[in-house]
Parts: sequence; C-alpha cells; structure tokens
Amino acid sequence: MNRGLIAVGGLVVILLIVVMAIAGTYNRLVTLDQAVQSQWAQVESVYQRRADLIPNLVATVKGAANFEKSTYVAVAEARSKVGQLNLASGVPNDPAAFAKFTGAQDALSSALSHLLAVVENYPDLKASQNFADLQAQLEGTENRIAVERMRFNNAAQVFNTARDSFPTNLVAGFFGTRFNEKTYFKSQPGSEAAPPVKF
Amino acid sequence: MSALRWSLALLMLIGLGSAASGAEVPIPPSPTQWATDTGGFLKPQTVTALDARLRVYQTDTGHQVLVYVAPTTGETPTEDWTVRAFRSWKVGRKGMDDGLILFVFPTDHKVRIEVGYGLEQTVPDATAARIIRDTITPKLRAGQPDEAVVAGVDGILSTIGGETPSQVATNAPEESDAGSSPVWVALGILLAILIAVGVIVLVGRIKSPGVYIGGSSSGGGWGGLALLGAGFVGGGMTGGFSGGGGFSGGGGATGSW
Repeated sequence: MNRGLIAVGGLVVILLIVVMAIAGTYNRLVTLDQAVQSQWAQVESVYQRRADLIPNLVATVKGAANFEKSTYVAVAEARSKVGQLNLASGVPNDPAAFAKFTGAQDALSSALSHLLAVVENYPDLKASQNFADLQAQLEGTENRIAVERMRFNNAAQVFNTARDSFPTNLVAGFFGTRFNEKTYFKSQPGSEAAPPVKF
Repeated sequence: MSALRWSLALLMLIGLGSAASGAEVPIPPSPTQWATDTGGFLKPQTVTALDARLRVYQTDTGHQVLVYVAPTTGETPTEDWTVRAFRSWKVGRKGMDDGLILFVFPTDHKVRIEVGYGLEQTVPDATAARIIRDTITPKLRAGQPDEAVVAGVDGILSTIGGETPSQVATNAPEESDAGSSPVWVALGILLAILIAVGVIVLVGRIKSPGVYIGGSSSGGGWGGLALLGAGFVGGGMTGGFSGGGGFSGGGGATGSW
C-alpha cells in the first residue's frame, strides 16, 4: 500500500520532469524560431527596399538619350516578378518557397547589374546627381541585403543546430512541420568574385 | 587626457608588441575615444580636437558619432569589416541604434560612413555618399587628410543636427594645448615608466623564478605600484567612449580615393 503510493508518486514526479523538459525544449525552439522569423522579416524588408528603388531607376535611365531599351525592360520585368512573390509567412521553413524567393531576387540582381554595366557607356547619365544618388542607394541596399542575409543564416544556423541535437530533435520531430529545418541563403555563383552593384 | 592616451599607447606597445598582423585584420576591441587614429594618418591635435568635439556632441545630443582611422581591413571587404566593427563596438544607444562611424582606411584608400539603423532616415545612403564624394575624397586626393576628416565630420554632424555653435568654436587648439601641457606629459611618462618597470619585473619573475630584478620585496612593490598605475589609467578611461548597445545593418556609403 505504502510502497505502491511511493511508486505512483515517483512515477508522477518523473512524468512531471519529462513534461517540464519537453515544455522547456519546446519553448526554446519557439524562441529560436522567432529569432529566425524576425531576421527573415529584415531580409524581406531590405529586398523590398531595393524593389522600391527600381521605378525611379528605370525612369532615370529612360530619360537618358538612346538608352538601350532591353536592359531597363528586363529590370522592370524582374522587378514585377519579385512583386508577385507570395510572401506568406513560413518561407524559411519551406525550401520550395525559399528557392522561388531567392530565384526571383537573384534574377533581379543580375538584370540590375547588367543595367548598371550598360550605364558605363553613358557618361552624362553617370555623372548626373540624380543617378549618383540612385547608385549610392542601390549600393547601400545591396550591402544591407548582404548583411541581413548573413544574419539570417546565423540565426538559421543557431536554430538548426539546436533542432538537430539530441534530444531536442525528438521533441522537434514530435511537432511535425512546426519546427522544420531552416533553409540557408547560398552565395550566388560568381557573386564572391564580383559584387553586383560595384564599379 | 592626451597624456593618458600616450601612456596607454605605451602600455599597449609593451603588452601587445608581439601581436603579429596577418592578412585577416581582426576587429579591434572597442575604441575608448571618440576619435581614433591607429596609423598616424592624422595630426595628433586633429584627433584630440575631433575627440573633444564628438564627446561633447554625444553629451548634448545622445548620438554616438565616432571617427576611426586604421591602415587597412586586410582581405575583408570594407563594408563587411565595418558592419562587424559597428556591431562589436555597439555604437549608438540600445534600442535607438543612433550611432555612426566615419572610417578611413588609408592603405586601402577607402572611406566609409557606417550608419546605425536608427539614423538611416536622417543620414540616407545618398547623403552619406555625397558627403564622401563632395567633401571627403577630393581633400584626400589633394593630400589633406586632416581637412578631409574634419570636413567629413562637419558634414555628418550638420546632417544629423543638434551641434551647438559654441562646440564648433571649441574646435580647440587651446584644448589640445591643455592636453599636452608639460605637467600632464611628465605625469603620463612617469606612469608609463612605472607600469613598464612593473611589467618587466613581473615578466622577469614569471620567466625566471630564480632571478629577481632588485630583490623580491622591491619587485613586489613595483608590481603593486604598476597595478596602482593601471588602476589610475583605468580611472581616467571611465570618461572615455563606451558603446551604448546600438546596431547597424550595412547602411551608409563607401568611397575610394
């Protein structure tokens, strides 16, 4: 009788400890997940910042005499593809959505770098105050994108490391897709050699 | 103040003289002054005057604005290095991120204005780029580093605003005179010698326990004095710069000359 009570009590205590441990692990994952999400919001906002510069950029180069039309049309098209991205939450959790996002952004990057290379052939345009300001903004934005991508990767790495270590991985697995592994930004092929908006 | 800095520099020479420099230039520890020139690019009195000015500017407006001159960022791209330095030094107030650093890297021929998140609206990239393009790099090309940096700080502070005219007036040759008055220099040298002797004695004792320079009791005495001296220097530094916890996200502009 007495012994049975102790056994039950012991079991309850052990169960309580296990539940507390799971709750603690869960909460820690939630905290790390939040950090990734908020860093993702930063990434989106700097990309948005770049997208917002493009109408002005296109208008400016259009104004230059005989500017090669195909280049700014390509930029405008890439910009509109970026605009169509469905930015419902959970992009970092979904490799397919992540790939779509980076694909569209990278297409815009390369259209932009092509345009900026073409601008080299238009000294008047390049020397104008308006274009110089736009160029500074673009450079600043590209730099912000690099910074926020790096910080995102750091946050994602912290999350993934926690998520994949034992016994946290058991808890994470138990909650299904809630704690999917985060996808990382990869550096674009060739981007290490030549930053996109640098002359 | 500048005497303290001299003695501190001497201390660092003694302590860190062996630290070799490689291709990777690590982010140095947070500067303890508002204006720092690690490469002797600027005249000492320019650094002293800028330091006094930026210190007052922080007292008046809360904004932490720094000038940092270092020879090079090594193989690291300028922007990468500066954003990490900004983060590591925590320039600007926590939560407000209202700090800014003007970097100059003479060996790389690069200038960068790194803007904290909170000042991105006040100092947009285009404005930072104009300050660099129109005021800083032309003077650097003309071989006037002091004028270039001072003009850059003028441009930055007038963009952020809040600097009172009297501050601009105390651009302070008299300040630097007071700083390098003979008494202070003498005190600084004395302090540095005390510390140096203390360090030598301590090192001697560690390296060769059998050989005491001047006997064990006096060695201990010197060591104690050196500690006291270090305490003094530390005390003087409480009035120096320390980061407020701010962040930057890569805003600002870079220029070359």
